[in-house]
Amino acid sequence: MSKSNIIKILIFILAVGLNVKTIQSIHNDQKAINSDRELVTKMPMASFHKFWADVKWMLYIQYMGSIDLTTDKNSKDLFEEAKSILDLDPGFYKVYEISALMLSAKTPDYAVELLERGQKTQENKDDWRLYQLAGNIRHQETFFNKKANRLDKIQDAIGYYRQALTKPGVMPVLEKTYIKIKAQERYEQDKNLNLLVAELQEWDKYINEKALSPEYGMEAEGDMMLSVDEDTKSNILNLIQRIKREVPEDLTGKNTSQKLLKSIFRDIKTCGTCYVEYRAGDKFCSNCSNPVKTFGTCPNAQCGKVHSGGKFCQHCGTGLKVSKARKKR
Amino acid sequence: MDEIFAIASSLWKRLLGVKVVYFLTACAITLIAITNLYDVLMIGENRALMVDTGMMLVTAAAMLTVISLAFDIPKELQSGVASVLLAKPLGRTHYLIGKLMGISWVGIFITGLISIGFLVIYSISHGTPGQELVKALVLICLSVIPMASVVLLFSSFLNEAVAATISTVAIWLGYSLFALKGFTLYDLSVFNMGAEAFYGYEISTFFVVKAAFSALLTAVSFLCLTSFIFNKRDL
Repeated sequence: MSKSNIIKILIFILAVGLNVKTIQSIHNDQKAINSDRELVTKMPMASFHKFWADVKWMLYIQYMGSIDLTTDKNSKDLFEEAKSILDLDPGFYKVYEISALMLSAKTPDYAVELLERGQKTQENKDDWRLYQLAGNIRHQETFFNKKANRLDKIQDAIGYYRQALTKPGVMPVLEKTYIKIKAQERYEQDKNLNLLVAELQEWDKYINEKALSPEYGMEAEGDMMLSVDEDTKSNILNLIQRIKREVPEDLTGKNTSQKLLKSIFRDIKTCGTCYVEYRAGDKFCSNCSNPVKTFGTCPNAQCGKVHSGGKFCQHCGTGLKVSKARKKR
Repeated sequence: MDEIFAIASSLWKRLLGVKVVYFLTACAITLIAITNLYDVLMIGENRALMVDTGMMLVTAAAMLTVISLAFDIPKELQSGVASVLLAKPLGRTHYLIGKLMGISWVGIFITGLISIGFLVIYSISHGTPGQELVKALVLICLSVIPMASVVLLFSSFLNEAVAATISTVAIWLGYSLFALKGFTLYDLSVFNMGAEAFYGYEISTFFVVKAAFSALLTAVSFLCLTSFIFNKRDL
């Protein structure tokens, strides 16, 4: 063998050896960058998987548009077609969302299966909408699917909603749905329980849990939502008022209402009879006409107007009493 | 070295002198632009379609460019042009290196042209493209080098039609070999980072450097193999 051939063989061996190492290292990098690569079909399609997923998506939309009514047959076709698109592009969010909505009425199990698949992808695992949609589908089954075990479906929905609430950017309105369904779960387990009281107890439990756990309420990445927002407060206050009106004799409801009024509603004044909020200067409740303890008015009997705080009344200049607690603050 | 550059630049001039190359490049860029009209048909996913079509067309352009080599070398060998060239003080390996360099330049030029057109259209339609998109396109441009070395191998001992067909299959499979667990001798999927770029996953510059290194190593290993076979061949 000539000298040049030996050199070529040596260079070949060296290049192949180095290349194998480099490709292995690149494969590891690719896995670290995007773990969804492992989920892509092994079908030899050069590098055109994602492009083909787009083409199939367009055909899928046309097929959906041609369906008047979902049946077992076309639901199965839709499900298989959606899966084949996701084999090509596991991160394709719209496929999960639109297919699940399309399949939810006739074949909710298919819809949830697709959503669960999406929840396992790197691209969508933190997308609260996929969990919420799965929860909604299971929840909706408790109304429309008479054969289904109601409690099982409720518990499934709770699981999905709970996961959704731990994801970044989740809409606070989902908390209300979560609490309502938690109360439903308790009601299913004990039919003697009042649903409103159960809901209030769940709110109390949830707020305490949220305050203690870092898992909940990520408003945005790294931003904790520990305080109770105004919408939630308004929901809870409405609930307290309804309990007072509809089941005033329920001791659990009464105690939970008192507990919450002293904690999250400590900064507002509510009527002792109907729990409707009243404002500074009000002498009677605008809802039930019962007298309320007036606050925020000038102590000078001749003035008696509502002041805006501070050390002196802005109407007559009378010095205002500052509470010890406020002084300390 | 001058002879290598002479062969490379001759191939460059010959291929880029064909006007249809520019016509096809313009067609590819127009196709990319058209995808922006698919807003309703894609239920708002027209950005995905634009990116994926762009990546697909750049890759297809790279494949087609390098496959033209499968017609070039056998033709030169049959017509005796290669024999005349090799009669001069020029080694067979130099001839192969010249061809590989030439087709790589042409491939990188054409894919680069479509990539620039794609990036301009993207920035007009969807705002400034991210760094990841640019890096993914650079990787596709780099994939021309290993692809060209594969075509060079087959065109050195097969006739035009067979070489072109086998090269196409080899390139096509080169993207799917990652599926065969543990097979890392030759893998073109390392240059396919389109999905990552679309979803905005970070592709480091070091990753691109590693991919470029792999492209060179693949080219060197295939070149050694080709040279070994080509030198044994009776011209």
